[in-house]
Amino acid sequence: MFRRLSIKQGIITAMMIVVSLALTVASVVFFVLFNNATAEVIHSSSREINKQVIMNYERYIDQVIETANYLTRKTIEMTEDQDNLQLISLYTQAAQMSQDIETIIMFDRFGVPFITGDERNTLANVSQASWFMSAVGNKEIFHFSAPHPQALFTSAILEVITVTKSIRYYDQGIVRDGVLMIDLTTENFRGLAQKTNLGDNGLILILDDSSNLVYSSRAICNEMTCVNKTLVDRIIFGGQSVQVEEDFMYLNVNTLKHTRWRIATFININSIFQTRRTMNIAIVSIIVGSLFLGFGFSVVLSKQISDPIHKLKNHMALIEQGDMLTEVKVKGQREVVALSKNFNHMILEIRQLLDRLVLEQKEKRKSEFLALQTQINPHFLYNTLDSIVWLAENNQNKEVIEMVIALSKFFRISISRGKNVIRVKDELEHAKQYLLIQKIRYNKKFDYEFQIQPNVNQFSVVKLILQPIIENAIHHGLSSEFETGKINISASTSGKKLLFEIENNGYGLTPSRIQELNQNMRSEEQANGVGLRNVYQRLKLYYGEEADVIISSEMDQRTNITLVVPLRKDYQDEKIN
Amino acid sequence: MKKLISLFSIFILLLLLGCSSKSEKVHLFIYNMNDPYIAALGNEIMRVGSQYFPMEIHDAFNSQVIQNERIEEVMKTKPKLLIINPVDRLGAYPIIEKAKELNIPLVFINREPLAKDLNLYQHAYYVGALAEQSGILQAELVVELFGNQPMQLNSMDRNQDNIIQMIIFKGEQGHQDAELRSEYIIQELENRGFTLEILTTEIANWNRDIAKNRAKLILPEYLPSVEVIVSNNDAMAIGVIEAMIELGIFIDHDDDGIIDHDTDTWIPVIGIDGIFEATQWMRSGHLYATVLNDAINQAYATVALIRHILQGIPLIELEISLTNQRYVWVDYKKYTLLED
Repeated sequence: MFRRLSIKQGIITAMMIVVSLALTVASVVFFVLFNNATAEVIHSSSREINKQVIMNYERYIDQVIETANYLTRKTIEMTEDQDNLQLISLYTQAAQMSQDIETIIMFDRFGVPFITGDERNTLANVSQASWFMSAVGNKEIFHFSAPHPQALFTSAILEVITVTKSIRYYDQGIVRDGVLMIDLTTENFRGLAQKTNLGDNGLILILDDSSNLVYSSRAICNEMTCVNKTLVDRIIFGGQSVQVEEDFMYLNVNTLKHTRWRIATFININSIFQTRRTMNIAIVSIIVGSLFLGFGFSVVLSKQISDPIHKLKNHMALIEQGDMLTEVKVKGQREVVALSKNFNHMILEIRQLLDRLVLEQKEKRKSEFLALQTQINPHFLYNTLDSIVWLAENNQNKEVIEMVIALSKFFRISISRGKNVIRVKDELEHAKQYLLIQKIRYNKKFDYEFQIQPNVNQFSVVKLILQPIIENAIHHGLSSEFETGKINISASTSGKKLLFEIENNGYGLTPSRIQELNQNMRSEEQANGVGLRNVYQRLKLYYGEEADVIISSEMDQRTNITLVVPLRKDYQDEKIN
Repeated sequence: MKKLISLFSIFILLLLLGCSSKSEKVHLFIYNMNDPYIAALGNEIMRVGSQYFPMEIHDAFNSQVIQNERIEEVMKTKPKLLIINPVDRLGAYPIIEKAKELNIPLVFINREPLAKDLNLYQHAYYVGALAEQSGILQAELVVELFGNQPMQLNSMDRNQDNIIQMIIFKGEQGHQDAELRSEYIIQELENRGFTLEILTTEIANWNRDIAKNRAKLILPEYLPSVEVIVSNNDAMAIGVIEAMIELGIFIDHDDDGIIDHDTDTWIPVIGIDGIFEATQWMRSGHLYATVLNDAINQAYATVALIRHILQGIPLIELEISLTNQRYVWVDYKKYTLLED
């Protein structure tokens, strides 16, 4: 799977996969468990509070219902017995017994008080009051009004909740329907909300069956302005976490028994949410941090493992380019260090082998070179000496002298105290002396001419390279008995090259002959054209690729041999060791 | 490696899916399993319903808050349908609205929500019996007991004044069934020309123990005159019988453990519901008769309605036809061993 990656990438990828997988699984599990746990805590604790609130309100309501049921039963019994006076005192007692009950009155079906537990005179007709009409409208159930100012008496300005229920009674022996009305003071009703700790901005709302706001524990929250109410309308009933402006709340909507009211409690759960949020941030930062840390570690580790190998690899590339001298120094794992040690050892061996090889090659070249250099001389010396003898016999003393001087100069330069490289000036001088000797020997059958750029004299050149070429020019270029041969020798520079041209006006060479010469010259084997090959081999041995010999010719016109050598001034230490 | 990774991810996926599996259940919410009639009805619905769909029963222990909580939790699991026996029938409207929002069909049983609440939602139904009918049937049992002749009562009219002296044990004050049963027995007897004297109406909140305590308190006073005791349900009737036994009102002259209506001393007690225990008390002769609020038939009717709703069968094909597209009225039956 990781085969195409480098070691480093492989390690990083594998580590990152393992680290992130483990982290993700661990944190998802933790996250889910933690969030579930907190949700459960929020859920159950808010439900308990909500239950408590509902129980408080239901107790408040139950007490009214009980009283009303008792009075309903007693009313029909006592009115049947025409015990109305006793019933009135029962009503009064019931109203006084309960702290929450303010007024109890039974109206007939026209809204006129029939039995009243209050001495005060009621204001005129109540038959148009909504609480009266709803009791007449649905006779089966209790009807609870929203808190409102009690408008029954002129004297009282008191907030009450009016509870009504259809009731049966006897009026002069005839069963009639009336309405039992109980007004409850809201003091305790409101107090219940304050008793419960709902946290900052906690709220209790009570809504009727048409979703109208019956009661709000905080004045700020009324029918029009309350965000909370829209939330209650949305969830209908049940519990869930909601956000009210800045606050996280747990909203519980439940029904209140007997009333057809819904009660909604908003319990502040900011602190739990805050904890949860902090926890979640912590989890996320741990994940991110661990990922970075994991990444860092894997980078470092993979670097430690792969760097020495990389170093080794780069070093191998260096060796491929020819650098054998630097040793690779690798620190790191044992295996890689051992590997690099072995590698260094191997390179050392190779280097020693190479050095030996180079040395051997050098030796070989040197002996070859010297061998070639010494191939030149014998016949020329015998011939010249023969010529001198011949000249002396003919008493041509002047020529003898010239010849001997020339020969002497020739050899002096030839030997050059054992140097192999001499000044161009000396090499040219050597050629001149040779030509001088040969001209006399050949009885002036040829002419020669030097064209020398003055600046060439300062450079150096391998010695005895012109003489073999000139020898060839004389031998092969001037065979005609009738014509005077002409040999032009020039020395010049061209770029970084030094050019020596030896040209004769002999018959010239055919292209195939030139090709043959070129082949012979380059061949390792000994063959014809000793002189040319000798010069070529020596130039190559000494200068390498920089030197060349170029043969060109025009039939019956001229033959030109050009020696190309690099411009050098190494005549001071030219001695081959 | 790739296999491992894919296996691993499948495992994780399954874990996540496992948490949110869909509930295909029908849930039954009972107001209080301590109420023997309701317990019988609930168990019968469970027994019959489980043959057709997975079911789960929830007891509210007579607390609307607990029931609301359970309903809310169940609604989150996308149930197929909810059968609700509400604690507070007035508090049903938020449940109906919520179910409408979530498109969960509702079948209310035994305690009827207000019509305007049921009308909020097309798929809200009610299966129950008409309380009036139970009152009327109870009146018929009284009529038969006293010899069918309004002007010439039989020997059960102990003081021979042609007036039936009656004590009523009533369920919760303001409870629809309690009111209607108490009202219709009186009305029906009067319609048939009988003259009644209600010695007292005792409120015992459907509860056996409350009825027993009230009976022990008041019976000594009314014992000379009372000719029949009617109760809004069997539980209270049994409570009264227990009180009567303790007060020594039943006298088993031949000591055969059975109150023989012809030879032993007794006062007739009539209940409603026909619970299992009531049958036993009838066998022993303590309970004169009851009106069968047929739990078995109601359970069958409820399950038949649910099957039709869930399988999309037109409701018109139901054995008991729907009234007003949402009511299934199961008939009460007179239940006495004398006719067997």
